[in-house]
Amino acid sequence: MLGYALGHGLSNPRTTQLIASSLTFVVFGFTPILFPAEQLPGWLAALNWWFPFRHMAVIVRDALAPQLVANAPISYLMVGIWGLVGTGLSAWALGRRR
Amino acid sequence: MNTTATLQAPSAAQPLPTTTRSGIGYWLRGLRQMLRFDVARARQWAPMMAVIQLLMGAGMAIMYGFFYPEVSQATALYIATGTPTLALIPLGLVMIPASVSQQRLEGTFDFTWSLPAPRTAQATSTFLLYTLLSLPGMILALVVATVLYGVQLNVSLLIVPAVLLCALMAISVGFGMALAIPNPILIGLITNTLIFVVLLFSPIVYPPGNLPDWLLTLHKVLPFYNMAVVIRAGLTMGMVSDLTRSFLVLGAWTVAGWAMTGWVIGRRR
Repeated sequence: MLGYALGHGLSNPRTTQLIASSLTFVVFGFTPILFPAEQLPGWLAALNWWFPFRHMAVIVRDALAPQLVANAPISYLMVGIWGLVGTGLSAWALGRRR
Repeated sequence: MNTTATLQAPSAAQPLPTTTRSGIGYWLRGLRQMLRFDVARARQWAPMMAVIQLLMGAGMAIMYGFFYPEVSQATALYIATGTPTLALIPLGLVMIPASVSQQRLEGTFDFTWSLPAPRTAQATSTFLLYTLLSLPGMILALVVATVLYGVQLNVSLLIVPAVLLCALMAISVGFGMALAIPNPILIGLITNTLIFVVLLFSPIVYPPGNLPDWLLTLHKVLPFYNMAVVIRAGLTMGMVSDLTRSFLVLGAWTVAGWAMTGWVIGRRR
């Protein structure tokens, strides 16, 4: 839903492309998905807690290797909230375009 | 009204203006004009591109440290000498194909090709502009990695031809690919796959010994690993071997890029 919101919420395709490419880069290198959060500086790990990417990794890991995961329900909740935010933004953008 | 007078050619007709459209002087004039045209056009997006290049260069130098619980001296050296290579790749192999695709969709691509300048001068102008744009990100990546990981580099003059050849190779292959493949969706697919392959499956920021043998063999003929080898050779002493082969492979890829470009330029006349 976030991708959908991004696609509909921004009018300039170049801006959308730019944000999408930057997100790929940021998600790959600066979110604790492929490595533990402890390897990030404290402030970046704290910041990541508020974004959905880390929580997406947690819930997938919870399904595959639950022994590695603590507090999975909170991650489900965070991903759910971001999904709702994306849905709300998409609905707003689509309504505005009518 | 004297119609006869109007129909008769003037007795002292001016000769038609003639312009020599060949020779090195004409080509250099064309290159100068195309550079002015490209720089003026790039004013819209070049500052943003430069900022992205700088952020990506610095970002790559920082992020690879997160992948290791402890960054040893050897790992730090690989990261510090690998990230400048990574910073050189996107502009040629990603941005140029994306820019040509965008121009095709907007219709400005055919307009540019129709300008009265030799097409080889137009292509050279693009090569020069993008090489210049790729350098700041590369330099920042090197500076950030060196400071962050505290590595001691042994910079030699070899770095100059190494960087120039790498930038030229990436831009040549990217430009050739963008011209040879007219479908923007296919171009987008190839460039995205390239980013993925380069960031994860190329021994640029980690030792080649970490890869399976078959993948390393493949990388010896692909350009990415060889880019890392020549740049690493310019920054360190005794860390790489078989340098000549890497220069030759990069040269071959550059020529292949030019051949693709030349083929398309010639075909469209």
